[in-house]
Amino acid sequence: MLKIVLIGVLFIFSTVGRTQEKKQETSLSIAFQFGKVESFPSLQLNGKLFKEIVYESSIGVGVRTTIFQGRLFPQFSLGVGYNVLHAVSDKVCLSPMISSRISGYRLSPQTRLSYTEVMPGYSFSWGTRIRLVQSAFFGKGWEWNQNNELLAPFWTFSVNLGIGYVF
Amino acid sequence: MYFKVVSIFILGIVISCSKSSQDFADVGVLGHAATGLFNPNQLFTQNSAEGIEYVLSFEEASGIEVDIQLSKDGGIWLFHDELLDDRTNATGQICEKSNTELQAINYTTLNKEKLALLSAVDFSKANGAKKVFLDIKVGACDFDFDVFERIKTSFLALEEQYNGVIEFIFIVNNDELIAPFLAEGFTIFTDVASYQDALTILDSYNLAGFFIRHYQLSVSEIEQLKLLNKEVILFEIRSSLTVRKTLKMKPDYILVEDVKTAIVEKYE
Repeated sequence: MLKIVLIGVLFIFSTVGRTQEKKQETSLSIAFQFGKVESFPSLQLNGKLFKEIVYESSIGVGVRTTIFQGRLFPQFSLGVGYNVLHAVSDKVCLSPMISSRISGYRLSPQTRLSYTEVMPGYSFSWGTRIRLVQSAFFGKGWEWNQNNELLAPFWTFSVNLGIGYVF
Repeated sequence: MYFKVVSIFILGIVISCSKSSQDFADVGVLGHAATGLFNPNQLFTQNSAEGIEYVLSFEEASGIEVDIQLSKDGGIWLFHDELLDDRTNATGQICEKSNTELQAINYTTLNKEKLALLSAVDFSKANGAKKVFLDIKVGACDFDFDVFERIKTSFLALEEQYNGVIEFIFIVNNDELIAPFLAEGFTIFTDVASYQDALTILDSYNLAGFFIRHYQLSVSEIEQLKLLNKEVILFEIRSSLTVRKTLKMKPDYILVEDVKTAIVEKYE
């Protein structure tokens, strides 16, 4: 599991490294994701892929399961959208976005639960140096129980709020 | 700067993940209304067929408690509240409506689960032997049939269908129903508010066990009831902290709002 966390962290760093040359396009935020399955405090990266195509990626851990119960519950998310306010201002970004996230934890010695969620929504950010980021998504999720090999589909949502620094 | 933030983040995770383990193998985990009455993270709503089948699919869950109510024409429906108003797209009571009317009702949740007949639940999807506690809630209606006989008929059909896999047990809190259930040899549990209440009821009825709020009973009182060969099921268990606390009290079962949270604590 630690390997997955490290790969996620390296991914974030490598993305920062690539975009640092561009001016004020990438922000690293501390965010809180309130979701259907769990709530995740996370490190979130917002930036530009090319032209007005933007991304939002994050790595976080479930509050209840990881922090209060001591069972690691990591989540990785990646969203891609289009900044519809690119012509208005550099300070503000509003993007319809499709976001996917994967997460999972060990429920018991014999059972591992994995979650995959795919959600359309929007991402909004505002600020020049200190940036407020907010996004909300609603879509479909699937819980995979590796013990009984059952896939449980469910409706899911995520509301995220964070504050970050623009590089 | 980034490195510091990320290091503190990872260190926090590592510290919070290191805990000592204890053995709670003797304490069973039951889902309250299957997926919980007060569980914002539930994937399926309380007392729904989907929720029941979902919770019973966990090998680690010992079973569930569900609420049953009778319709006007004697169907046994799964529903907790007295009124349909707060949780469904309908109004009124279950006992005022016919089976046909109830079939059209759904919960006002994201999944819009249909109101379910007890007989519509596929208990064969259970992962191993499970206990299903049926909490009988009789509404404020006068029925033109014998309530006990109607429940008994449905129960015997279920017992025959799932014999050896699911053990159906009644929770009866209605004095008029306790006597006929016991007379027919059914295993009966009831809700009590204290150890003294349990002893008082045992003076009149030979019940199999009790449901009691976790803060209304001490560890020594649980031991005393076990010595009397009565099972103790603690409820009103919402947070992971309360799950941990109640597991340490060593009842026979804990009736929890979130089965997955309880399983994590049990197998920490």
